[in-house]
Amino acid sequence: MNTLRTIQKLDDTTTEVGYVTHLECLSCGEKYPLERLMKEQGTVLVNICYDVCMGPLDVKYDYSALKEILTPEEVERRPNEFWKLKELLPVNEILVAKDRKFTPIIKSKVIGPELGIELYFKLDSNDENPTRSFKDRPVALATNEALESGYDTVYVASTGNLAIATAYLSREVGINCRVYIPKTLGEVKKNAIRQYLKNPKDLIECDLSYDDTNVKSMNDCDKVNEEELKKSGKKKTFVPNNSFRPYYKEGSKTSGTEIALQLKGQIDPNETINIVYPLGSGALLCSAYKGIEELRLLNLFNNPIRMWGVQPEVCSPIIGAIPKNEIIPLRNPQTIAKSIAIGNPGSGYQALNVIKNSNGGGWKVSEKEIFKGVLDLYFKEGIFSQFVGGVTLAGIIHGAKNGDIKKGSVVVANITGGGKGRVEDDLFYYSKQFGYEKEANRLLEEVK
Amino acid sequence: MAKVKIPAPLLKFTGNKSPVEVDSGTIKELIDNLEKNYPGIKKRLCEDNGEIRKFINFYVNGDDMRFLKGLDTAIKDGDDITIVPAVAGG
Repeated sequence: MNTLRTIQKLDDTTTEVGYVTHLECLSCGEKYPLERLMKEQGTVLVNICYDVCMGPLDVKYDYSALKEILTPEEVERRPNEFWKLKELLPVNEILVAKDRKFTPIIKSKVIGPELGIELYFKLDSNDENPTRSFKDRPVALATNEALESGYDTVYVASTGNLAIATAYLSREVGINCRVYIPKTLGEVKKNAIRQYLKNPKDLIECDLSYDDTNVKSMNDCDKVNEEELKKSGKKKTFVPNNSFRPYYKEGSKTSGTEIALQLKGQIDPNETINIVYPLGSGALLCSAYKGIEELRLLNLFNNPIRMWGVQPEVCSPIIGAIPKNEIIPLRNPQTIAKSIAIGNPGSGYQALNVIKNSNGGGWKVSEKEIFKGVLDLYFKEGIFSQFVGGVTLAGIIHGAKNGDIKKGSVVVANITGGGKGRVEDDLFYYSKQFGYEKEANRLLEEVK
Repeated sequence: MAKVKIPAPLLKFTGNKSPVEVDSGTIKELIDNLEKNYPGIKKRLCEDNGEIRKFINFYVNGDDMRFLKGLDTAIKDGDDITIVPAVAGG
């Protein structure tokens, strides 16, 4: 099967997979040029360092060619859309999310001044992301890859947002979708997934943790592909966050590049920007950092940045690993921030490296602080967020109070998922245990 | 004998055979037995110090070995072992 695609470069030479030159292992450094991948695997869509250490792969680009194309004037000229810097994404033809715009970044009116910091909220919870979570970003990339390569079915395991994003986009582009979720997912989120599925039987509830559900989806995908390979000689089913993981992760770079391009011009170029993400697998933080550093490489952005991660105390395999750099996975973690109840973070070591290299850090926050964070975001800033937003805010509060974040600093809080149509049941249910029934009920009344 | 499911990147060591049957013992001994039968495979599974590579995991009858006894986890005859490259989440 020939999956080589070509595009014209400015000088009329051609290349494959956009401006991608090779995949490189983030753990052992092994390089896989596209020609080697085609020769050894018959496809460029690989997900791990298969010939050495099975580590994670990173997509690398022809940055010297891109310097000539993505000049500051050219970037300024282009509209603020998801594919604005498409040459820095591993695609040839754009087949999905064609009109998607940047999500907003707004300045905090209340919480920032309360904490004495210049606080911004990056609202991936807004409907510029069609399913109102950042997952729309990497899913767009994985789906584009799949369509360009002739796949027609997606299996996905999820704590909710990835399933919703995948089910939505699958329906948009007309591919089959099967979703695996832990049984414990809230009913509101389950309904949010079901609305996009052709058949209710396509939602498989597993009596398993997220991590084990993830393994199950990969095993089922491998089984069905084995049969398909025998029948037709090609794989037709993919798992977006695993089968094409290096390409999938590239979509999340846009979170970082948007922040950089949106703040550039608003903030002094010498000012350090503290960028805070909640951590599940750790991939979003890593990809966003990569996106910003690529801009720096192309002289499109110069501010120093520090990357900070936040996790619930009860599920913090990455932040907990900061002192010794050893990640101890958790079995079946329980937190109200179900989106990031990931005990076995697939990009955990990478996230630790990003935090270290950027002179950042991390915080662990209590369940009560997470809940209060959601309430504060709503009542003080008018942002109705999922619990992950509460995680981010609670972390920033820790940082501002303990001096990690100095007074007057610029801080970006990533609100990675919107609350509407997602967490109303959990908000109501958990409010009792933290003594926030009155506030939660008021919020739920107002957002109806 | 235990039954070991081999991931795609390592099938070249077993002549594309999966699962393979290996003498049981502990996971550590199982790996050494795999190496006896399929030379070169141990280097792909373990660091030089004998620890399992960071991005590889062993499941014993569906249980992640890191939640059992790691390399010292005892394997019985008839056990199902799956070697899995670290499955990424999220």
